[in-house]
Amino acid sequence: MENLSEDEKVVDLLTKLKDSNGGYPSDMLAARRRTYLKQMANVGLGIGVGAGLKEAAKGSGNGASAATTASSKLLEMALVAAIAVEAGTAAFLYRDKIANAIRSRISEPTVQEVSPPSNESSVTDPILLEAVGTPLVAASATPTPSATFTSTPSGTLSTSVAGSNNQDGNDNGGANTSINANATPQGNQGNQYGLTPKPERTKESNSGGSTDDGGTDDGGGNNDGSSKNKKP
Amino acid sequence: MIKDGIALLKAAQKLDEEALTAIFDEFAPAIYKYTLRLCHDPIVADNIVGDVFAQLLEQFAAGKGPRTNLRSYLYQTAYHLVVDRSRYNQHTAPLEIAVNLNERGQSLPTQTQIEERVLMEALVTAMNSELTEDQRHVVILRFLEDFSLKETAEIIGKDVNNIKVIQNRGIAKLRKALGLHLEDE
Repeated sequence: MENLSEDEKVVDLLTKLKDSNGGYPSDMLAARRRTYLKQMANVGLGIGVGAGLKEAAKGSGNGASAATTASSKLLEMALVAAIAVEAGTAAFLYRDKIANAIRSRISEPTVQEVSPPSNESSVTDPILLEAVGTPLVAASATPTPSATFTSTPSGTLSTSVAGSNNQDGNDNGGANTSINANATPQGNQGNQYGLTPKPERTKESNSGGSTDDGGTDDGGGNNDGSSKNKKP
Repeated sequence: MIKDGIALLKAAQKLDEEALTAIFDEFAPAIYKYTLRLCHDPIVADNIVGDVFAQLLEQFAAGKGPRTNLRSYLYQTAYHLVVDRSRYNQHTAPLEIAVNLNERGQSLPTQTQIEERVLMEALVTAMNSELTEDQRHVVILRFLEDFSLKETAEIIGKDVNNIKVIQNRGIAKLRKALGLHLEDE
């Protein structure tokens, strides 16, 4: 109870202290008020300028809407023209590169068409096989029986070997033909089809020398380098 | 002339000069007294009043500011400014400056007036020396500025129950400090 009464006395003293406090000095209050009014004027001026700009923008939108639409269309046209001109100049500057690119695209399919059939036609095409096979039959029919042995296992290889055997047979006799006929399959055990042109080339080089010299120089050949091959 | 508080606040939000001037004339002396009680320096109190109303103008210009209770908002701004200043400057000047300002030019005091003045000075001394910062703020806002518990809680930024506890502890400290003087009475 005593504490409550003493608390009330403290509160009464505090309320008296409220009344006894001094007020705002008049000179300080007047100076502060002037400063506040200046700040208020500055803030109001800024707000006024902003509001004036907004109203001006609104007013111009209502009054000159047709002018703004026309100007916007003109701007669009100018932009489109500028883009077209820029694209044209770029194409003119890089015309060589563009032409090369177009050519490369056009020429690509022709190269692809040409290369694959050249490898496979010699093997798979029946017309070519028949065309190549005809001299084989004709050549193998006339000379030695060794040619008939080589012609039977494989069609294309036997033709070239048989031809070479024929010409060698004309040059050197039956002993050389049997050696060549056995040598080609042994050397081409892995890939017989890919090496078929090589004997033809040797045949042409040898036959060139042999046709000129072989037929006439059978006796003379024995006197020259061919005698070394035949002696052993 | 705008008399209604809400109408005054709405007009001030639109930066109406009359409303803004009326707000200053109504609240500037009260803010000054409150600030002077806290910082004990008339010049600092005057500067804080200027800062409070400058911030109010900035808030209104930015479309912000108080929506309902302008008085609490102004005291809250002043409170934060005083707290910020007190963290940098630890002023311990006595509150007698404010007490004596009102008594200038008076005639010779009577015996009761002298006793009351001694008691008041003891109270002011106790408020400055015995109370914590929160207790001093709560006591000033509650008993010298006549704010309610809810308004005081809003200004200080604490719960109402917490404000009650702070107030009771502050009063108890003042009672203990003034015990001898009360016994003398």
